[in-house]
Amino acid sequence: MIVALSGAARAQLRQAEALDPIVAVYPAGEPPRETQVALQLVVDETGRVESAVEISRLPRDASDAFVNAAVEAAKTARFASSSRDGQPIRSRIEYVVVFHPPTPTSPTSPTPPAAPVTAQTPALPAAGAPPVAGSGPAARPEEVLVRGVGWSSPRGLGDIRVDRETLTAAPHQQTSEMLSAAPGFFVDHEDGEGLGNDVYLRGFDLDYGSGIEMKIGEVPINIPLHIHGQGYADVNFIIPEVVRSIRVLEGPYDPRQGDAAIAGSAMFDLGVTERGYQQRVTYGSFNQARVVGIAAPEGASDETFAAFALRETQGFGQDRAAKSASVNAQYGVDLTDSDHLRILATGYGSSAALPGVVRLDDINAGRVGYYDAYKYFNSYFPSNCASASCAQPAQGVQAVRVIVAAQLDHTTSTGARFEVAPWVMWTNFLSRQNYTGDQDSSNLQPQLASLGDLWQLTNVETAWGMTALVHPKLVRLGQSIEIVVEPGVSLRAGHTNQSKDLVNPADLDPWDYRWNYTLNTIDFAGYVDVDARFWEKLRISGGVRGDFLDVAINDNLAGVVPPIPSGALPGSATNVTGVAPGPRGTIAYDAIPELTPVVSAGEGFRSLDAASLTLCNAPTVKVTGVSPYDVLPCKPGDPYSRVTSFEAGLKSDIGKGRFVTTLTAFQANVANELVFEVDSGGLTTEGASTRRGIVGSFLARPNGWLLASSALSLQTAHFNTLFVGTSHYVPNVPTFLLRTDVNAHGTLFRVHGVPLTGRAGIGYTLLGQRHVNDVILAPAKNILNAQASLRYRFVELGVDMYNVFGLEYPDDEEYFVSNWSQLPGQQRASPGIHIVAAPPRTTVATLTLYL
Amino acid sequence: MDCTTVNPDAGGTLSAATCFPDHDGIVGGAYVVDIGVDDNEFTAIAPDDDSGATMKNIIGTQNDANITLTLTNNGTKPHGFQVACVSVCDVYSSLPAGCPASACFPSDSTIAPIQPGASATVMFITPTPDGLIYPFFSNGPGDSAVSGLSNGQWSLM
Repeated sequence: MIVALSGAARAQLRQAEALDPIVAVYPAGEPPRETQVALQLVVDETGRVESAVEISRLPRDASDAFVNAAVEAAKTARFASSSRDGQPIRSRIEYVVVFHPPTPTSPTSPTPPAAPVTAQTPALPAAGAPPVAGSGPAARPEEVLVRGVGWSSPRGLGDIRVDRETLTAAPHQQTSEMLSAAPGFFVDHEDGEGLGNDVYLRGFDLDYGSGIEMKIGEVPINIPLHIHGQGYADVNFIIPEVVRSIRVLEGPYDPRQGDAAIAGSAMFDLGVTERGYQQRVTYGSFNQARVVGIAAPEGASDETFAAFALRETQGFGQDRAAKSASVNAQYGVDLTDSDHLRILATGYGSSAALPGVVRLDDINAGRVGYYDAYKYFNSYFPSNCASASCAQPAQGVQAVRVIVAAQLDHTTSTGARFEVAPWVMWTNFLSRQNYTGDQDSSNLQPQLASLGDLWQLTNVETAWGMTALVHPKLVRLGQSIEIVVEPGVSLRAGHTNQSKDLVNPADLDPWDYRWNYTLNTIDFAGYVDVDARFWEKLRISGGVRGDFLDVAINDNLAGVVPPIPSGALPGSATNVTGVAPGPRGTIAYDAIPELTPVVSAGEGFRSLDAASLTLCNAPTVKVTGVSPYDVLPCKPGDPYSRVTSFEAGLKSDIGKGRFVTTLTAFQANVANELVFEVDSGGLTTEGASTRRGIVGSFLARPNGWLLASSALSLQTAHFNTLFVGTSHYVPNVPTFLLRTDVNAHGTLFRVHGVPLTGRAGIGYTLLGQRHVNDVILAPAKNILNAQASLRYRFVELGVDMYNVFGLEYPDDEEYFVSNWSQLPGQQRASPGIHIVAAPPRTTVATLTLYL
Repeated sequence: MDCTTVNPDAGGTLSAATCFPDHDGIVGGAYVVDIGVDDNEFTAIAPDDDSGATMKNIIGTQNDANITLTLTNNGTKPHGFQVACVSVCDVYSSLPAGCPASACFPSDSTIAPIQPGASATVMFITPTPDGLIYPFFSNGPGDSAVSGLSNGQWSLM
């Protein structure tokens, strides 16, 4: 029996195979009878057998000599390692060594012939796994039991599991940055904490992670109606050292993808492969310090660990101090031979100051530094503080997230897998940001002078839910058709209090209320996924998904904020219900192992925000002078925005994952765009848009010490307009994106017989020009990050450097009207480019102890 | 067509929503704006307690928004309120044929000069082109020579 263990769901697995027939010597002096020894082997990524231990022997009174001979033979064997989605993985498998009595020997033969070690043929074969040839008449069918793992065809050309080796090929300080290792992705390095990172993917600039579905295990990270932008997602509560792999799906082509899968999905798989205890200390630029502790007890599975991380930085420039703490713990245990339980708990808290924007014309005129912050309308004076010397930044963010989740995998006697995964999550978010200076007027107190455009956004949500699925045994129809039909359901319920106010930067007291909603949201989803393979060449996969969405909105400011209908009392309720359909499918044809054409199409969706839903579903639409359906962000009754995506291309896999190349042409039609909106410091919906482009990727592992990964995407993104030739660009979408990671690692030499290993890597990004608006193009970005480390025994010392070129470049760039000034009081407004600076050259050193 | 080639005085035949896609995704809403005016400048009715600021020569609202504007004359001479037209070419570089190259507040946003101590209220809808600053001023006799009465900015976002 071969047992392949993995916590990663729905990956395509291949179990390890012996490269050559393995010969075990029949112990001399033992009675001539057939004997079996069951061994548990750990085979590493290179195919080497790390360990071999006895599980059982038959007959039970067989001597230890058989066990010793079996272990000896197995340890010298070489395997083609197990793989997940084409990537070699370390795995635990079970082998049965069968000893046959020696045949009569000739007088010239001094030793008895050896009986081969044989593997047994799978009783529960993993689809796609090649048959294992037995050797000699003793060969038996190989028996495979795959636990906790379903099988499915890749859903599109961008369905990739990025393993830890690739994730760590280049330096990535935060977990969200690790997504840059996936083809077509780019997540810039950030120094701060608490805000979701911007993600670039296939023509999308996904502010704060919105628009890409993210999960940890089966727990959705996105917050559908977050006040900072629907689908807001910050994954930096995950400690990067415990990320074992990330499965990315570019595009909505899998029926399992839910809310926020506009551009695609990213699913984080946690695990610690290097067992033991790790203590890591990092210190570097801007007095940033980080401490990480990981406990991954030997003998437990990779899934089991407990880790914490503490980080503090003064930040570069002005007003960028930040601190955070994170705890991640996971426990994976086999309850029985057919039941596997995984429990996950995470906690995260962060607090960071924000500098806000600076005007490019002020920088160019020398009125403000590139990494500075404006003084006026940007300073908070705590009690007992009346001077600038004790003032604190008024802009900042605080975020807390707590998750408790479980996942139970049960394998039935028929080979079907049942999975149920409940979870509970609590998030608390507060941000204060000022983009425009001092222009706003108070709606509630219109007689007031403006007190500064400092927006305070809060979002507190308690959410719970679950997923469940049944992945039945593969069904064969004749000799040429294999089908798996997987039904599944998911549920997400949330209760949210959110507000958006203008507050006085001096004392943080509100001076105008704009939004105040209480939300109750439900998302019931069901899907059926069909995965069929014909003649072992043609794969057709996909299915349908439906999400029943119900959003109940209590507008606590209705009747408070003007206009107040005559006789109206405060408060109003809106209830919007709808079903978001999601047909999705992929066709792939394995013409030859090295070339697979693939075509995919699908529809995804994203929930709409409370303000849009309230506006669109009001009894009387309050937009006048224009047709409301020309400008409203949604249609009455539809609590979601839809995306329709297509892709077609080729994938080439040479050497079972050693050289993987893809070339994809894609198009995404978004019904409602989500754009940054300075007037309220958040994201909001806009009209329909279309993205088109091509993306090519190349991954090479030519040998055991070198990894090279590169991707180039070219894309356009336009709002749909009624007239040909009239362009209106979606802002901040780069015209092209080039990403390259290269990493070399291995033994440098030996000291006292112990290897000294080294590791060096670079990550290079060229982000093309981006439309700030229809007229202004932001220049290309050119970013190089590098890392190097040495390890001897249990000590590792490493250095990471970000922005090696030391270039000044903006993390964000927007064009709007503001009246920021270095002078006090309300100054004249003018339009201009505003930037938020990306970190300058940053160097950090890390000492790690493996205990 | 290139916006700068359109006659600034030419009227439009297409709807504003067709000509001017929204920049920030927000349209509409309701705003109440109370503003005072004296012989020197536009002012807030209630000065800021902390800074004592009184000047209010910037108004920021959304486009296509319902505005209720009240002007109170705290001066000694008649003063009014009027918003000027602006070119849209800075933010709409290309326009479909039939679209105007300039944008104006509606005529009912204008308050004719009112006597000292008087107040006047108008209700109107802001124009569609956004990302622009529309200058406003007092249209009282001789007010164009007073900088604080002729340098107002209405920012549509």
